[in-house]
Amino acid sequence: FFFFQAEDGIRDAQESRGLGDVYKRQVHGRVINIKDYLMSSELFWQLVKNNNAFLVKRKSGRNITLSRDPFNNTGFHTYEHCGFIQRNSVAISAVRPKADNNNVGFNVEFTKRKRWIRRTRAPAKNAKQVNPDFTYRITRENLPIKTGRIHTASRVIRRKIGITRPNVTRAALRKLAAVHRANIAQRRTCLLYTSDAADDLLCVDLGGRRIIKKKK
Amino acid sequence: TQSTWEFQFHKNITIYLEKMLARPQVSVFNSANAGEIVGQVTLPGVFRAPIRNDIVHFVHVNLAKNTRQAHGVKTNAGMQHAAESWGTGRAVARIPRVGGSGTHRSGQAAFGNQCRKGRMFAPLKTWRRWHRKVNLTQKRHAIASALAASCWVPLVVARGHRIDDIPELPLVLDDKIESIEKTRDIIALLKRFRAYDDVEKVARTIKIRAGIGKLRNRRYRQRKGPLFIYSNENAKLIKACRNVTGVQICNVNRLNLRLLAPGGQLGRFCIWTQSAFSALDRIFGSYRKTGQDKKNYQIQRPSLTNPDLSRLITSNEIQSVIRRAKTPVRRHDLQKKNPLKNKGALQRLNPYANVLKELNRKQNEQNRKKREDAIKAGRGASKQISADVKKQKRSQRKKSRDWVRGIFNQLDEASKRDQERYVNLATN
Repeated sequence: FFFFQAEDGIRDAQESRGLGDVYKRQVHGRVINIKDYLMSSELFWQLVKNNNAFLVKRKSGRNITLSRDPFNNTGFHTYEHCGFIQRNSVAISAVRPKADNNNVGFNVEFTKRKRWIRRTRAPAKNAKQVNPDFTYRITRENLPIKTGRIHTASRVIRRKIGITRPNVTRAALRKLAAVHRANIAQRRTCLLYTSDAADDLLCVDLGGRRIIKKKK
Repeated sequence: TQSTWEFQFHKNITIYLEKMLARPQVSVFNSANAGEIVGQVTLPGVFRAPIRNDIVHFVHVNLAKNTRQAHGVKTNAGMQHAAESWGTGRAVARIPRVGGSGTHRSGQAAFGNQCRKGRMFAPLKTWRRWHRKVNLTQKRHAIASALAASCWVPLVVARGHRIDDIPELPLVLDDKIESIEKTRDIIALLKRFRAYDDVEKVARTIKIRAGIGKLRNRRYRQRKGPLFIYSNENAKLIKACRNVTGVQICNVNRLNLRLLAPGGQLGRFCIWTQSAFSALDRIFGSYRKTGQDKKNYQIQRPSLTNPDLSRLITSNEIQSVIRRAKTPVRRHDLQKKNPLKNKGALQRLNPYANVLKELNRKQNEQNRKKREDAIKAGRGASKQISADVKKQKRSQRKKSRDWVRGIFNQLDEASKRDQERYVNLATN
């Protein structure tokens, strides 16, 4: 089923700490989380652009720098696509598809800064008690999406970052489609991983003399 | 009185400064139970120091020189000969040559850096200036920057630490961890707080060093894992952490840049004890007051209170004042196009050219069509000629034929007469 980890992001600083609005200021009519002003992605970029763990250090003839950042959906190491330093970015990763229905073969994660977010519902009683005012946290919203729900994933991506970051959305959707396509192909070619009549048999014939007896 | 927008600007600057000074609460976790928060500490002011990677780089580079051991070549290497130059006139180069005889070595060149077995250029001396003194304030600024960087997830992640699942950054645990004695307890703690991925990363990537350093007691290279920072001198934590791959420990009173920014790269993953975390305010001070332990040390002020450039640019204060963006004006084409050959270029110069061309084309079409029709019409023309026209043409043709014949007859007769006359003349 499809869920959001609501308690991670949707929290009101004042409500949980009861400190009053010392740490809140109304600027242009919106409540702003203070620490968002103290560090910007531009500043992170200056610190990270020349050297970071995701940089691909390869001497190639072309004058491009590549990045293995999971939140980078194009692979090019540029400010716009350097996702792990940005406020709104999404990571599409391929996950090995299984016959299990809950695992469709891709994983969608968002970095989310708690800007402009107000609490829309009370946190669950057994929700992990997390201090909302901590300095920074990558909130990973993993969306376990059912087979065939690629449109759900794309809709979510578009809703979250489609307006503010159209180029990134485009790249993310492209990658999502590519991963999905590859998974379909893999499922088709891989006997063991299709949930068709073969699964119902007692054993799966791999060709030749190897026959795996399926455990019931 | 200030104008409205000036007042607005001032108010926002104040807000930004307040934000700069504002320090959120950091949770202190129960070391036995990662889900439980046992307290809160206000973020120390150091963590709001500006992140000056230039200072950190400079300080790191120079402090790294301080662990070097002197080396040099042997003082008399290459010079242990009584070699003398043979001078000029002997068809050899003027380099000093080894004297004596009875060996290959005699007469060979010596002493020069270019010579075989000669001394090197500028032989290395042990009294080279190996160590560097770095200004105390600079060192302090570097540590402050390194600490500030360690509380931002993107920077710690950029350094390569695996902190995807830790509960919070900065990670502060209660003081009970200082009395942990056993290595296995530390490992359990790291696993509890999902920091063990970082340790595993280190263990997984231990490699034999490339190069001759492996023969010089630097055989293995490994990554850096989490850094525990404690404050009590007698913490048993030190011994517990010693044997865990990649884990390092540091006393908060003796913070080391080489631990906080290994390789000059900011963003070490630090795990604090509560007392160590709280001690930072006393050590470094904050924007409002200087440090106590670091006497009179004042944290640097950032040059930009609001580093968020995109917000600055799109803010009302700036947008209301800047002029509209100029559209780039291209005064002439980048490459000249010949209007006699390039239709577009011609059109630009003479807008009537296309009209004229079109007219001509239409006219040509019409003419061609007319001509074709005429030809077609003329092809069956003889069949359509009427009978009396034919008769007329026939009689006309006959007349002209008869006239021509008559002329030829006359000519024939004239020539016949001439012939007779000659014949007469000849006989008479």
